[in-house]
Amino acid sequence: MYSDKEILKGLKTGDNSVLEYLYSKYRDPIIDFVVKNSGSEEEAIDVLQDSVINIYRKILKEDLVLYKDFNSYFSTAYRNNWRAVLKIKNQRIFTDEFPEDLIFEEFDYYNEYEFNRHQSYTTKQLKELGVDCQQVIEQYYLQNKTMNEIAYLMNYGNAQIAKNKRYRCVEYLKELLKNHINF
Amino acid sequence: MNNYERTAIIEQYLDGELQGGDLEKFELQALTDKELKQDLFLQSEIRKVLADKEAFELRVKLNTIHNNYQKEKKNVRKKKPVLTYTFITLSILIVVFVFFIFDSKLSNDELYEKYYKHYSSETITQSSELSTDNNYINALRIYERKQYNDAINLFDKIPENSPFYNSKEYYSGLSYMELQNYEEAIKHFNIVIKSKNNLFIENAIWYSALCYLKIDKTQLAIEYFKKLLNEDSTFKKEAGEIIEEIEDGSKK
Repeated sequence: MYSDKEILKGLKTGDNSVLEYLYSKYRDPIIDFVVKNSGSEEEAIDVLQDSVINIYRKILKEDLVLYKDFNSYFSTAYRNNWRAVLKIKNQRIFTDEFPEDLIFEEFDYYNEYEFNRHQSYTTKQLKELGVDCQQVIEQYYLQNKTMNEIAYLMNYGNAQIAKNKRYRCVEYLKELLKNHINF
Repeated sequence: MNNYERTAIIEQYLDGELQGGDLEKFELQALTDKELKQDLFLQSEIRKVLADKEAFELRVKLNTIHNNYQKEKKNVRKKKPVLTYTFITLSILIVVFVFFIFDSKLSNDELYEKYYKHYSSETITQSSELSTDNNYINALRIYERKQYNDAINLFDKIPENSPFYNSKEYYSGLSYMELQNYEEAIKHFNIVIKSKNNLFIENAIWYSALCYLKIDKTQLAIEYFKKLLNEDSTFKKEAGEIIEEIEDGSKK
């Protein structure tokens, strides 16, 4: 059990135990809510993830204000997220658990939706690449290492060989993403 | 232009490496060539989502939590109705009580609990101070903080040609043991054992044997414990005790 302060701190630092706590607490309610409102279990997990990520971004920008407790805030957030997804998908809303006058929409979810989906697919497809490709991509694009540094760490002969490897890995990742219907 | 060439020229464009005539030619082509345009969009998107570094890393963690949850869910037994469950529990208690009077043999679980000790990476970390492999050092630190899922994720990034490959397989095995995923732990320990040329072989055999014990593959556990009965083994005494305990129990 974590206090609201501990949850926000844990989210900010990416504390695994806080993330596991949030996952175990909200997984079933979100699945229940999304499935009752024209969604699938897989979409519910996306909603859970995107809701956590959106709150995390707000925390980093120091833009988060809890008018009530975290539970109320998060419950509103994931409901709003799913509402926005349904509007984007132009689907009918079947249950009256989902009133149109749902509380304020804090997130500009429509704009963030596409970005979140792309980030989610990229995260998953990156794991499908070989370990060396994952490392090269993460070192260059996430850790901003130079090709010379990558060549040294990965035992490639020189920066050009490392660069060619990087191009090849991006090519593989691209093909995986192209095969994903929603990218 | 094939896929690879398209990928390469787009990366050069996005890295600002194209200049003058090459740059103009690319920008013109990107307006008319459908495939180039699509790939330019994709590669730009890849950079954008990865540039959101902290959120990306948080997603990786959330995915891992979800995957672990799915695995655990498969192992959860269905709940029985209360009365039936109570009856079964009572029956088992009576049987266990009767057996206890006549047989004090330790179960596999009890043997595991008695002999399993968490392996600390402290001594190894100290000797790796000069290492340039940040993933390995960071993974060991996270392992010591008992964040085993994160440690595994970092260990997974260490390639086969790394000098820390056998070490990281060993610690991955230990991490999976802590997460009670004994089958996965055994896979990693077996890699260490097969390599035949590293400091962790004996430990890997010991922990593999404990894993087999925990998942009730007793014969395999005995085989592995027997490998530790030679004079030089650190685990000779404990391995002998466990074998004796198991074999005495099976004779009764």
